[in-house]
Amino acid sequence: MKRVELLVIGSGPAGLQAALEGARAGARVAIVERERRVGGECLHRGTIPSKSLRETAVQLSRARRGLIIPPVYLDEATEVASLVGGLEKVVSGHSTVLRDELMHAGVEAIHGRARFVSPHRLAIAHVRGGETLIEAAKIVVAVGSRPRMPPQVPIDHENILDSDSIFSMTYLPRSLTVLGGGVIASEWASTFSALGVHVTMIDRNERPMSFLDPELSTAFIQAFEATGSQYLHERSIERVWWDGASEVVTKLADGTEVRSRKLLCAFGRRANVDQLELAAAGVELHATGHLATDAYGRTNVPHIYCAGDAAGPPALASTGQHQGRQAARHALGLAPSAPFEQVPMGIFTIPELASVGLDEATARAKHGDVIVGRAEILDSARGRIRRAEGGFIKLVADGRGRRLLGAQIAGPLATELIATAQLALVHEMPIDGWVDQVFCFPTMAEAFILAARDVIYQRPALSAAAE
Amino acid sequence: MVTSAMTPLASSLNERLRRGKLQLPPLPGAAVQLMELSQKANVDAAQLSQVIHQDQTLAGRVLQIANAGSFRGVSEIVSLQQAVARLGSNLITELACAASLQSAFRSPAHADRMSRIGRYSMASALFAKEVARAGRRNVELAFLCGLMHNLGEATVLYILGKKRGIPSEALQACIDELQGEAGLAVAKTWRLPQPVQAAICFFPHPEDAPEGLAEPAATAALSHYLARRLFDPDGCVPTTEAPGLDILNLYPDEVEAALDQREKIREAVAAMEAS
Repeated sequence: MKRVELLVIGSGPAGLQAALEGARAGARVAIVERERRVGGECLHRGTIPSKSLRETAVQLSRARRGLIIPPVYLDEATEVASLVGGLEKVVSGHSTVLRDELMHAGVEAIHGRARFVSPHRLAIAHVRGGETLIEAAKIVVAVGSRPRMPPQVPIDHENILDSDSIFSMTYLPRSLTVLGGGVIASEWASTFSALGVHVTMIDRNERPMSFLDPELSTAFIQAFEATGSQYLHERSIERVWWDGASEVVTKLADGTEVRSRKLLCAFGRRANVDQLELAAAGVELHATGHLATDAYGRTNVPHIYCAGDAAGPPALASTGQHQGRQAARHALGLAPSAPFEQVPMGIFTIPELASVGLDEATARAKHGDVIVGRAEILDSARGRIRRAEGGFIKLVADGRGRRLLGAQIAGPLATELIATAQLALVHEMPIDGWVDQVFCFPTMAEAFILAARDVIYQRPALSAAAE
Repeated sequence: MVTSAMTPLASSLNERLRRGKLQLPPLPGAAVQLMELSQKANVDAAQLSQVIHQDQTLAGRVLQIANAGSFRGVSEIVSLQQAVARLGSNLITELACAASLQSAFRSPAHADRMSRIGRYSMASALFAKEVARAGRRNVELAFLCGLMHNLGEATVLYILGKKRGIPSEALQACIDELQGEAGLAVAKTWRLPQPVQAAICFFPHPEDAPEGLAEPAATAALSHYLARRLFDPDGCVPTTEAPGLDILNLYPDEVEAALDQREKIREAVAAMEAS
């Protein structure tokens, strides 16, 4: 029987980081992946394919706004595959990079499906039958998640799809209903909407992605509805059915019926633990279907950790990477690397949304007075050149306007721009530090300087002097 | 490709095939449009009925199937639009597509074998949908891969349609040797989508398919295996040795779950044959 110090189950963003961190610490590490290639759902079915399609949608929406001549319109017979040319090369290329990284780090990759047989021992089933036993001192469960299948939504992967099968559609539908208001629902809704599909998004909450600063979700709704699509908030679903001929019908509790050619059910995800036989290890599931963990990612069984989607929201690749790293470090007795608050969140809607550190409401709740500096993306020369449709940078500073507590961005390349704020936060750069910097001209990063100046102008002493 | 190991019959047919001297089965006009419709998201009943009505024999056959045991409801279906409303545009498109294709392959000398191909083709198509669902792959495309995967064998029988008295071993050898080439020739003539071409050419050995096309070939190979488990279970290899598992990354229990649909699929095939 094989024995390792750290066994990681799942090779998505969380699992990979856990394995690499363990190897970096000098531990003997193995990683088990049920799919043929490493990278997890994120690489093969989720993040990478959806972002590839989104990239085309962004180009097309710019073209429709007359920014590229001539504007391009897609007809209904457009094949989805034709909109993500070269995707297979992107996926296989990235998977190879990840596999090589594991190999160089000395991590043993095992292809198979893991299940616990005891708290320290797992059996790995292989596609061709047979099992391999492996024993580990510490275990990180990073098995990811799968779409939830609510009983009132009969997912058939043909007309009523989930977020794993949505990408298998051959042609762009004329209309699409999206159930849910989380990150996945919002990203797919805005991508299809930008591709010219009429999208109706149905959410039980007042606003989508309610964990975000309300200004970010408002920016999303405004851009989404500007394309002709619709966001129905605070609605609940009574029943969904395929009419047998050509449409999916969604009946809401208030009696409204929404008809569309296809439907995407994105009502959250649950941990992918069905075949893990957690009971054999004594690991308990939270009522939400995720693994309950403490701040270090530890489950109720002290040597078994959980990271990534399986541990529950926010279930982003970035947070998963952080959780994976922290879990491995804690398991191997190392100090944590960076606090969770410094992990950025990037949402690939159109426009992109990003956040790091505290948002305004959380900062006020925690610190009392805060100063918020703002700049519009269009206030930067590059923003005007790009003819950006709205977008802003928001810097949240302490009450004296000296220390950065967080930043939120909506607009083009927000998920890239947030890295600047992240580094400022990690290295505790004072607000004046922004103003002392010179960024390339013209770039949208200059909006940071404008937002920092806005904080400075609101400082108590300056405000008093102005009065 | 001509090899010295080929039987004289296969070698002669192959030579004629390469020179373009063999008459290949024409693709029925309705089938072309039905295949397109089968992958479309936005098909309405009127559009579908219009395509099927272009071929009156086909229209009659679809109605017969719609009224057969496993599909029939409480009252008789008398129009195609009614059939679409009752059974759904997807199922009607699939049934019509299968029926249309079968009508293209007449082989009087090998009628039994041809009907066996039809049976396998329909069952494979329906199993392919289950295989696709298990792996969250495109269900409509999988259906076509399953439906068409044995086009090569059907083509060889079509070519030899009037040649009676060929010993069964010689006929089998001829099929084994030529089905890939013959299937590809027809697939190209019919301008079938690339994944379907890959399913036809590589289903006996999906691991040989080019990058990006191994999955449709493996889907066809596995669904053919499942059809065999349905009709001719004796001599079938166990699930763990089924073809295509590595490429599709399906575990034995997932294959067994697809096989759980066997009775439903048997009924659908029986309805097709009864029409």
